[in-house]
Amino acid sequence: MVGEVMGTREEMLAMLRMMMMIRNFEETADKLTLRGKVSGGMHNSSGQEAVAVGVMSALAPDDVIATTHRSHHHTLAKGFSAREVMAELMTKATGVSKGRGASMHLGDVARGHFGGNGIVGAGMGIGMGAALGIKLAGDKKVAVGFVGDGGMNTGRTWEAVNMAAIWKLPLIVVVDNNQYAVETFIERVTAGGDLPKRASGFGLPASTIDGQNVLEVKDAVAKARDFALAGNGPTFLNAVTYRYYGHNVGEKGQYRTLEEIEDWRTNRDPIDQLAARLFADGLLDQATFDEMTASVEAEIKDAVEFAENSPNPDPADVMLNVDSGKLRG
Amino acid sequence: MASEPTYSEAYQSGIREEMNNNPKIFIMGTDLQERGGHFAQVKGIAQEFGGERVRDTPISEAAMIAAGVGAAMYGMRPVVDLNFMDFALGAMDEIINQAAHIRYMFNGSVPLIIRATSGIAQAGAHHNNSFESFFAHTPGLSVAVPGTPWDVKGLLKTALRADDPVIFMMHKKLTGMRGPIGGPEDLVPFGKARIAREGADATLVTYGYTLIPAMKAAETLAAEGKQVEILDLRTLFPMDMDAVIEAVKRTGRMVVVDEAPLFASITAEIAATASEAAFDSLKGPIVRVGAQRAPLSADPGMVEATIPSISDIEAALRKVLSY
Amino acid sequence: MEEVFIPALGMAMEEAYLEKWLKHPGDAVNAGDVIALIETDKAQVEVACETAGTVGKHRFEVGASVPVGETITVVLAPGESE
Repeated sequence: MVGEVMGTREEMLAMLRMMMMIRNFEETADKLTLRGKVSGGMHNSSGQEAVAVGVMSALAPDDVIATTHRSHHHTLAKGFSAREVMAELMTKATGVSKGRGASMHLGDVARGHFGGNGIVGAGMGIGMGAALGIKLAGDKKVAVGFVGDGGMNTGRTWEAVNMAAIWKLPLIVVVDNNQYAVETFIERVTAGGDLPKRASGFGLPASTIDGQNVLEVKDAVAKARDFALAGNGPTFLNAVTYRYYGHNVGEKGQYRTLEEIEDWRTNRDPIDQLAARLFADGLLDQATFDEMTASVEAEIKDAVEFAENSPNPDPADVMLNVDSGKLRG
Repeated sequence: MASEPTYSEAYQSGIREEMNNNPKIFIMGTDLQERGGHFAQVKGIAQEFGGERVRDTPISEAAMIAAGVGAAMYGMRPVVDLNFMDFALGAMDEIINQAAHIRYMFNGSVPLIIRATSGIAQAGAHHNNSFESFFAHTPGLSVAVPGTPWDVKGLLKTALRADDPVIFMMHKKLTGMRGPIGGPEDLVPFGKARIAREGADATLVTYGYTLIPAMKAAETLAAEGKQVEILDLRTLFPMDMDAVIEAVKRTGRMVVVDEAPLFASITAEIAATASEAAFDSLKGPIVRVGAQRAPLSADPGMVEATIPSISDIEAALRKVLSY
Repeated sequence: MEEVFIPALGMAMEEAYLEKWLKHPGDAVNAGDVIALIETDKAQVEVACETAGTVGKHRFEVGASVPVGETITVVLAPGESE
């Protein structure tokens, strides 16, 4: 698999380490949330690492993303540090959104991250708008609009897909499909069942990919990116994945069987799968793996310390950046 | 002498000049290219600037505003033309949760103009709403309500050179109103009211189309020997509350009028704030005039019965003049 | 030593009512054993431990309203003391 499509050994190890870092970040953040240290609700992405890392590995650094309420993994994979994401979860002034957004509103426009979003489907629409901006500016970039399976049943999603298709916008729609819209199994509420079939009705390439296989995700996004840069317009990728924890930290719903969760964790874990493959291909040895594990642990420990020692935003700044001030004279 | 431009032509003039100055400005909406918009507001603009910069959209309000938000964040300057402000309700999330709140959290600006025609004519319950207070209430949004061709052009230019989401509400009954317009650098600032009529006996505060019945009421009162000052707010956020308070101090008598339902309206904001700030200068309570809290009928007589009439405005003025 | 605490389970949850102690000081416990029952604004919730060991002192009595994040007892590993 190593080669021109999948990348070098270093790139593969970087993908593995990023997924490990996200997993450790999420499990650490989950505990901090239960301890009452995270404000504003927290959506854990454990289990979905391959979608984020696969997508970002295929993008250029200045490509744009816009995402959902569950976006820690996208944000970390986009290149934001564990420190600034952890600080944001704790609403610290050193956080990604200066402590104003917490888990659900991570974003920094200047760095091509057009925000997490508390409204289902809304981030994808903004991604579509970013793609319009890219096209009008004549830039050679793409925008990725992340949407969840829940967002497959809100009208705005399909308005945006239609617009992207008629204008051939450089947009990649990635369904980070963990199969549960909060607590509702997607198949219970989705007529027709086949999401790519819905999307292909708009005349764009649409497929389902294995969201647990980071290399498959990367490959599909790389192709979609080339397709968009060639002026052919958007692609729809339904990346099927699974979240190991509840919709939000603290949720105790019994809508999934323990057997189902255990099956995904044991047999389809994205980190285990990539690690096993790299071991088998002789690209990873135990010493390197242990070293990566230790360095991830140190990184997250440092991130927690950084976040805990950072100040909260200054309440005197409540009115800062409500607007630019230019219209208020 | 050629006749003066209309309210719609003032908009065309402003958008044309700014599009020439700034290649990042583009317009999108329904029926813009051939028809020039439902109020001729962009007539001829597509022919001049082409289909990339004057984009016809599907009737997808949420996607239209989302496209504007994302493109604005990317650095473009979109103008989304909804034709009727009533249609904004299909994109309320994109306007309130997204456009208005992004700057506060995400280290970027959203220089997006949402233009539409607003106000009451005879078009029934789905094309006649007055949503000024929704938008002015929302942190992050600015709201322009021009009442003259001059202000249409001047406020539009200011909005297109700023960095914020602006709700640009043009009144449908003013579409054909003629008047002077400014030149390329005659910008009208937001948050600066205009004295539309001078008078020392009482102040009437209003904006948009209501300036016309207000002016007629003031003339009636003038015939009775009372001079009414009329303040045109021009923008509802930012609002020129200083001008309102100064007027209270000057005349001591104030009427506030618009055609939105009276309950929880902009007029309530003005009356409450001015009363708090200048109570001692008031000779009596500020009187508000607005519409009944009923959906708009399509029947002309029913519309008349819903919104303030000239005689309602005169009655309010007589009341404050009696203090 | 594992601290057993009142978990934050919702955006609006600030405290929980301590309804019942199921394990007492000196009891041996396994990972996953339910130590106490609490009642939040939404539901009755079991508070379990993550490690095996011996339950320490109860820091609150039944009927107390305990703030989110507050430790209610500990699970001691062999040889540990409070």
